[in-house]
Amino acid sequence: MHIREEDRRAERENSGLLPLVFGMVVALGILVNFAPNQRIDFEQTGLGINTRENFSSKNGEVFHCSDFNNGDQCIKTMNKNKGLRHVLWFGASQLHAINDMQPGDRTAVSRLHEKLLLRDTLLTAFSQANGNLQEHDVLFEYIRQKARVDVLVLGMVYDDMRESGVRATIKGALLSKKTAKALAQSSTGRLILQRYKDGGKDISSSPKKYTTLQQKTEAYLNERLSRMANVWAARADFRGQLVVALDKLRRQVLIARNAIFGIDSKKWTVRIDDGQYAVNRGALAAILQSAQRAKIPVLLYVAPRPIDAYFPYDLQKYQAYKNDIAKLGASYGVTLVNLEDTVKGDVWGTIDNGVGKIVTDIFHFKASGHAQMAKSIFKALDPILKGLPNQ
Amino acid sequence: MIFNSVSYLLFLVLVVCLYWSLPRKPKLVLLFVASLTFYGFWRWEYIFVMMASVLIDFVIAAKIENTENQTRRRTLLAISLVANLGLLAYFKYTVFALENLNVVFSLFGRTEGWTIPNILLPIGISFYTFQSISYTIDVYRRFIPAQREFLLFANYVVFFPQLIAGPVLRAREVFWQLNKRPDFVLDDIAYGSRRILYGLFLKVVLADNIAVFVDDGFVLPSSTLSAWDVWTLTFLFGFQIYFDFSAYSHIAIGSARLMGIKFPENFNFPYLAISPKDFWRRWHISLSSWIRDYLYFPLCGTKVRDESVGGLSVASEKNNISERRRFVALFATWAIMGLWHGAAWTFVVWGIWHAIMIVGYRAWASLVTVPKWLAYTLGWTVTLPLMMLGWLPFRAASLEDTMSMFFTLFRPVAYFDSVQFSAGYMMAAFPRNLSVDYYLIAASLVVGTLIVGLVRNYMDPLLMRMQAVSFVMQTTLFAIIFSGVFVFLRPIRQFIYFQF
Repeated sequence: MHIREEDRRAERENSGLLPLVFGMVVALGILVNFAPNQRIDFEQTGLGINTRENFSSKNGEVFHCSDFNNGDQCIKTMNKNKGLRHVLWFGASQLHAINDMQPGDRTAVSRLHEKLLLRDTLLTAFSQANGNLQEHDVLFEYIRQKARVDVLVLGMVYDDMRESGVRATIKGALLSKKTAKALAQSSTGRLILQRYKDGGKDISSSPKKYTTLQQKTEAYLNERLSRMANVWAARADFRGQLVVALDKLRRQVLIARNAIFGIDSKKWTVRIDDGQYAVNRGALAAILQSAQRAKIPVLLYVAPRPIDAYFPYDLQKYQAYKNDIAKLGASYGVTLVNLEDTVKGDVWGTIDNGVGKIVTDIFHFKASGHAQMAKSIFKALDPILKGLPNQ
Repeated sequence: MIFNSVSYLLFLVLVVCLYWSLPRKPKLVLLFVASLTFYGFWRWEYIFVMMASVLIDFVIAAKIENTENQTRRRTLLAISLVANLGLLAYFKYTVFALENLNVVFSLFGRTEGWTIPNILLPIGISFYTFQSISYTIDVYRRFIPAQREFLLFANYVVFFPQLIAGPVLRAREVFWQLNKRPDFVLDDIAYGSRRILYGLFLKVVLADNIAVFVDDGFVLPSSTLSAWDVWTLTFLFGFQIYFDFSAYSHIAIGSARLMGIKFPENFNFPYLAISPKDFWRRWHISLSSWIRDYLYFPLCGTKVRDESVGGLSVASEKNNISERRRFVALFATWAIMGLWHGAAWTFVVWGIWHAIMIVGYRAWASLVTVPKWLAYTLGWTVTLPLMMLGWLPFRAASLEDTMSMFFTLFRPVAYFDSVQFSAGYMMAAFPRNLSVDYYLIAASLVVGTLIVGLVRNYMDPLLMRMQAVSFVMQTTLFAIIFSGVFVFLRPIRQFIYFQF
């Protein structure tokens, strides 16, 4: 057979079994040695210093979930309580994270859930770390296909306008044909469907959710291998640790850049890219339009933040964002309620700002902050609940 | 079955072990059954579509060889082409054709158009139909005899390492290897394993992680992107598709090699190319040579003869073909090549872009002579961004987005904001709308390409003379590659070329 130069070179470069075998043995040895025996919860590490997540349930009924994978438990609770009015609350980690958590501490969701039960109302919440509006759009359409929603509460966090995509643990909702059909009513929904057109068939869910032979086989094999070898089960931890290490490297690069250019890292600014803002705004419009069509009243609120702490965003752009969201809400008959200044006092946590400085965590607070937040959400929600027809 | 999965690796080990323990005929049965199983993991019902193509060409090629009547030979060839291309046209282009017809109807005021059917594209159809067609044409051209053993021929078409996304093999490359069982050589196992490992690394560590940034970036409204953003996204996608597709080829070549079967190289570091012509000698080599031999030469009216030894290509005799005809043939070939990749006008734009680049390069090369060192440095510096830019229509969501992003590159203000610069904001003077990670990754990949080029050209020859150092470096490299594959191996994303 005629051999080209590139074929000859490939033959030369790829001969020899020993380096391959030695390399594999060395790699396996290192991985086995460093594989953690317990799984690492990376969601917790992103929450800030001394801040933990807390998802609520009561008497075996789950009412605070994070995504598609555990969401069916919340939907089950909703359907078990059809006689009650249903309030659905979407937000980011502010809803489930408690700084300096002590035994008995409760989130705003848990407090409000208890209070609303006295008003024959069931509160269900879905929140994710850095949850964005595209994910809320997907979840909203998914939940609406499976359970009745009487009121939607939607927290607006400026930082989340820069988040992109739908995470693996939520895009499984796209497998539902009804959800896909509902999402396709909006341009953002169609964008999401196009992007995840394989339906988000991710191995991170349980085997029964897979449809092709490949996925079922792969899920089965992974489960077996994870049980047989801790080093296989630890792969997700290795990936997480790599991301954390790369993030640390990135921080060092930024610290070096600040030192070289004389930038004061206390005055760093987080950018919200116009493009990502536009996509998330589109998702918000899709949610509001869908709620309007279904005659679901919406409580749209600006999330609480510590007013006297450094706010790492362009203040003009932030004001423009609030005006924009208010105008968008008004076009769908929804009023934007500003709850920025409703969590006061020394209740906020602390966090590394990404360039080596410990600063006030402007998203997460202590249990007393959750109590304040629950009170302010209830106050804003009350008129809406009073306006609902009786069940 | 997807290559980047535990299922495939187990399947491969099982097939290879059985392969080496069986004599010739059972071995062919094993490969055939294994290939159908491999394909059926996706959808078993589309096996029948594939087998229809195999059967048609097996029968027709035999009939072509059995007759000397030129008209009858030509008719039989036409039947094969119509059958194969008809299958491809139905599954791949029906929706595209109907959508465009509806657009035409609406222009004439007709509101009711054709109903668009829901047709699922059989995976690999673009590859196996082309492979099968090349066999029939080669028999017609009398370059090879018709294969009389159905099992052997079927294995040529459906052989699982190359079934879904190539390399597009010529019958002469494969028949003799499938027919004669090669001797077991440990070096084949070494070679095959290395290639598979490289491929998996490129796919699961590099391509799939770059894809996250590419997907996020191309979803953004094109009006919010600056020129730097467009270049960055283009480069990121260019690297993603290269790592993704070359990964497939590595794994295909490696998997076949574990069974002692040698496939030709499909990629040769295309981003080190110094001209558009050089690029197409390095990128998807099996398809570009196929297109040249079975489409471009016939469109030019070139008479061909088989010049190479048992070979990979046909060479043209000197012909009096007018420049005008060559020009038209070039553009037609590239437009068809674009459409082969996907049923959308963006792919046609991609094809036309490359035709323009080749014509432009030919004109430049005929007018200008530069010293070799300048040809290399200038050539690479100009070729890389131009080839990367060709990926824009390939990836953008629509023709409108393609044009919008493309024209952004010609707006000076999209590169430099003099107002911000005058105000003293150095960083803001270069408008950027993506997070800093995008630019860092794109820049690292370009620098990495340069380093690879330098290592291959200058370090490799040195290392070949220093065996101990070479051994240690290779061991370290494999340790890193294996660790990456071990940690990242998950079938979360199929190969890009599966959609073609």
